[in-house]
Amino acid sequence: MDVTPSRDTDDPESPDADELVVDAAPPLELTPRTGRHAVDGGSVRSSRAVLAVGAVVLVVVALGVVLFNGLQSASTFFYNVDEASARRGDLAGDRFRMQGNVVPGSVTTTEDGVSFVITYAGVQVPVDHVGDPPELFGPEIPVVLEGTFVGDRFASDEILIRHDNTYDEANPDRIRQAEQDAQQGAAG
Amino acid sequence: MTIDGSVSPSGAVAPARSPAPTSTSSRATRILGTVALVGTAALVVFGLWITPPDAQLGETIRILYMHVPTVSAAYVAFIITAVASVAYLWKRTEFWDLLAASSAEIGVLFFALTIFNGMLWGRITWGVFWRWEPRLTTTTVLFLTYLGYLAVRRVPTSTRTRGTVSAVIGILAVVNIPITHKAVDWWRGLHQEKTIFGTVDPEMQGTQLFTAYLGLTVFLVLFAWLLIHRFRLAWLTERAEEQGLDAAIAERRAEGSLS
Repeated sequence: MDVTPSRDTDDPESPDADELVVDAAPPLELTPRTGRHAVDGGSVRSSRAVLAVGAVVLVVVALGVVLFNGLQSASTFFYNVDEASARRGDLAGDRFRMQGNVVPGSVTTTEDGVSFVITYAGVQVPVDHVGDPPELFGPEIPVVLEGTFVGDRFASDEILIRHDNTYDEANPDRIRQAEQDAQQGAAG
Repeated sequence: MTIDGSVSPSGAVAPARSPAPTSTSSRATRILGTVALVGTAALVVFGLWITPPDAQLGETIRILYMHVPTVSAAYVAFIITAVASVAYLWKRTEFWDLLAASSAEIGVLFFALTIFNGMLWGRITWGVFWRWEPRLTTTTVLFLTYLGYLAVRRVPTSTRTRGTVSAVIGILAVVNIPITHKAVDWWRGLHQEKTIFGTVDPEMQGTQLFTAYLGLTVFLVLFAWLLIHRFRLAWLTERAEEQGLDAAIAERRAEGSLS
């Protein structure tokens, strides 16, 4: 039998495959693929473990980078009205989000949407919105607008309603309202 | 699975000491299941009928009676996965490995439900299904991490390697939970701040608060019930695979003795 480091030695059917590999190893350095030899098996296992831990660390670092970058842009998810107004020069032509409260009494319906004034920290900006406002839109409601500055006004095409973590049962209000109505009805 | 992997001298796979049960049911799961069923019925009644609509949110607050419980159950599930992963690396027993896997699987189920019912709520309240704001972004990363965990568990390799690699991921991934949970405090976004567990004095009262905690209790019981069943199923699957392997070896030996 021709003992050469040929592909024959990889044949698992060959009864002497392992010995042939060991004999012919020095010139070719065929890395053992099985854990059959105790010493080799141990080193393979530990190098695999290092590889696995390395891969996991790499994935975690990559995720961290993605998360960090994502959050850097997401952490400026919106500017408040006062901040956006102060940075008007920088933001000119940029599409961004602006957060504030709708000024009561400022909402008027236009041909293609609504116009209103939005305020935050004492600064007011007039808004022209194209499209139907969402159901919960109304006076005092905190909103996040998406759009651009056009001159002194903000051109918005998306209104997002911000909801805070306060909840209140509607019933007591309705009861109070009903009582008031009843009193007025009795008085009138 | 290789023969080397399943009977490795490490003892990663302990042979079944007693005959394996043929069902995942027991007295404990029947009690838990009954409690979960009755509790769910009560939650439906409270959530959909007894609680009044919210002053601002109207009827959509009813979604939150499910949203907060499902995400809480998912967090508990992922924390169990992390604890079981630590225990596996320490004790190296099949029990902890399968517990970590089972808990992660149910956690992913509840987390997917949370994202789904949250999107419905967002569409009605915010006006959009999705925005890449901090809470939703960190939530996505968390969800993908645990999908990755489950994927890694299905990579064909020895039981011990699978257990080690997934345990490391199970421990690292849990770091994401405080980040996701606190995202609403650390960065400005669209999502409201924590509804319960957030403040000493929750911004919720009366029947609303009761229903919120009822939902939380019901979903935690439901989670426990699912987890026990899933764990027992995983255990029985391992036993079945062992039996299949034993049968295959016996078959090979029989072939060998014939020739």
